[in-house]
Amino acid sequence: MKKLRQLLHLPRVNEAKRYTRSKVGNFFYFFFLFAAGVFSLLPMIYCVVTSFKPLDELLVFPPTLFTVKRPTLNNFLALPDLISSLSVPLSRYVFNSIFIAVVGTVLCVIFSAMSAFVLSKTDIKHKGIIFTVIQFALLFNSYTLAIPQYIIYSTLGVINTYFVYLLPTLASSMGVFLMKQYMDGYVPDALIEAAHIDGADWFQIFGKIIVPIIRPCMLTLTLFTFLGLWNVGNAGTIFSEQLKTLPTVMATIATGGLARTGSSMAVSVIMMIPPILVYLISQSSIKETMGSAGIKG
Amino acid sequence: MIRKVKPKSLERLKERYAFMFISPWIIGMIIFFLFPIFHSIYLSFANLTIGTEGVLTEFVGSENYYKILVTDPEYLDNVLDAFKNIFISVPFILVVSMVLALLLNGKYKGRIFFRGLYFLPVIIASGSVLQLFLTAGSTNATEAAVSDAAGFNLIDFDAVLGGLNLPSFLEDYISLALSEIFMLVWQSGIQTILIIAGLQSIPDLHYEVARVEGANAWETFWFVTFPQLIRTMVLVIIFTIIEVCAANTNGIISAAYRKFNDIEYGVGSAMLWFYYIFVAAVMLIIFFIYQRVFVKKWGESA
Repeated sequence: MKKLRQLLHLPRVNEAKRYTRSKVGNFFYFFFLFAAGVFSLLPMIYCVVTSFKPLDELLVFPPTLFTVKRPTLNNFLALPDLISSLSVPLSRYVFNSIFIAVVGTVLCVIFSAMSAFVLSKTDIKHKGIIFTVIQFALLFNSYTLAIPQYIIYSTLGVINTYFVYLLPTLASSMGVFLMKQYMDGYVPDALIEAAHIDGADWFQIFGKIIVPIIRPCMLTLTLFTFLGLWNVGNAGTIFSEQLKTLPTVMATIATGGLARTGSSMAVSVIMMIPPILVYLISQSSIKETMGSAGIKG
Repeated sequence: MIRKVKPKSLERLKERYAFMFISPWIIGMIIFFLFPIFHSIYLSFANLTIGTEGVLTEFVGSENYYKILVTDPEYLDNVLDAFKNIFISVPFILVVSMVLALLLNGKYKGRIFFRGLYFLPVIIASGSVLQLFLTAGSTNATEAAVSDAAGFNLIDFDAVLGGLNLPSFLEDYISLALSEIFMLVWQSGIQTILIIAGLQSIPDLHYEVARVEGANAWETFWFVTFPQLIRTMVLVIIFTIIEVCAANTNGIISAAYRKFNDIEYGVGSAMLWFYYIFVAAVMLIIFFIYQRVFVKKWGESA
């Protein structure tokens, strides 16, 4: 085991790998990146700017998009008032959203990795059928399954509980598909054999060999799942106000009509923060994969 | 290392634990996917009514399919539109995300910042914000205004295109792509991240060899990066097709959703099922091409 780990942590052959590029080339490189970045940022800027607009500026036609003459914090300051008129304290919604997103993401990533490991590296029976079902499952829009799923939830007796949010994450076809493709490509069979010869049991193989190699993939999946769960609504299966999530509150605030445009933009600006944080954390901790260093060196 | 447990062969180990590892997922899949799927297929052949005793289903055979394919004047047009949409959006999204991923994968200071910049649209496009735009019915207005602000409408694209004497299908393609350029660019975020993850998994060693052998950047891309990225690309293509086809703004999906709201669940299910078969056919063709062309060309590495 120790030997193998030493092997895995081999220093990279050559860290400094850069194409030599001229200064002009560098300039265009960053110029293009920056221009395209600003382009894709426009809606975000629009959102932020709108959240600082006073009411009379919101109603100007034609709309002024990226300029605000008299920025105001009123939209944000109005939120506590709007929130205090809710029957359930905001902290409850925040807790719900965070709880569902975190627990759901962890469950989804762990179970996807486990299933993908089996599908990719063992000869379990009916492997082909299982993988076909996964690809098939990727196709489906949630609308198709809404009524049958409702029937299942009510049979299981989980309507109006957290399980409605969490149980479907156990059967994430996207996660397994992503991970299986990744493992097929980047986890060499020889590495698992080597670990076994060194005396690792099944859980050690999974935890100490597979997981470190598929880290980039796991972090990407974490990001997607978190995003999906953070935006999850209460598709007709949650009725008590205590169990609803932040998007529901946002929808409630937004239904106030035109006059609430500013406030709902303010809420959406706040809503954007956690996914951005998760993104930054997951992306900055992606290190180069060690899969290649383990065997080929 | 001294072990007390007697060693087992790897195959025995696999047999023993494989089922344990995969069973939670399989149970979830059967309960939350397979059962609903078959139920939904059944519903597409049935008439669903909500009465005092709850939900009643009555088997009506192919009546729902007859309704959508023969009686409904819009349905087949919608399917054709969706088909066209695949060929417009998917290549565009692929190229944009590929270029962005290659640029963002470079090693320079502040790449996290740039990546963050490109990921923001994903948060917007997948999240409640877009929902807000849509519910306010202002998507078009917003988009139009945004593109005005970006100086897009200062150029009359149709006139420019007309002057180029391009074949008409190409002209249609370009003008459609331009009119949806914002949506398309915003949709490229997840693909970009997937491709970056793929790029990072290519061993540095291979680039090292390419450099030593004197390959330039172009050759390195086509002979080192691209062959190793094929697997990721197939994944990205499938993901993109699904994203494009299953978007809630899609004509068929929204038509079916309206049917669901009118409690015509059978007709709605039939609409979706016919459409899914169609999309699945497109994906099968792509898999076939992947197997035949790429796996053959690059062997196991693809």
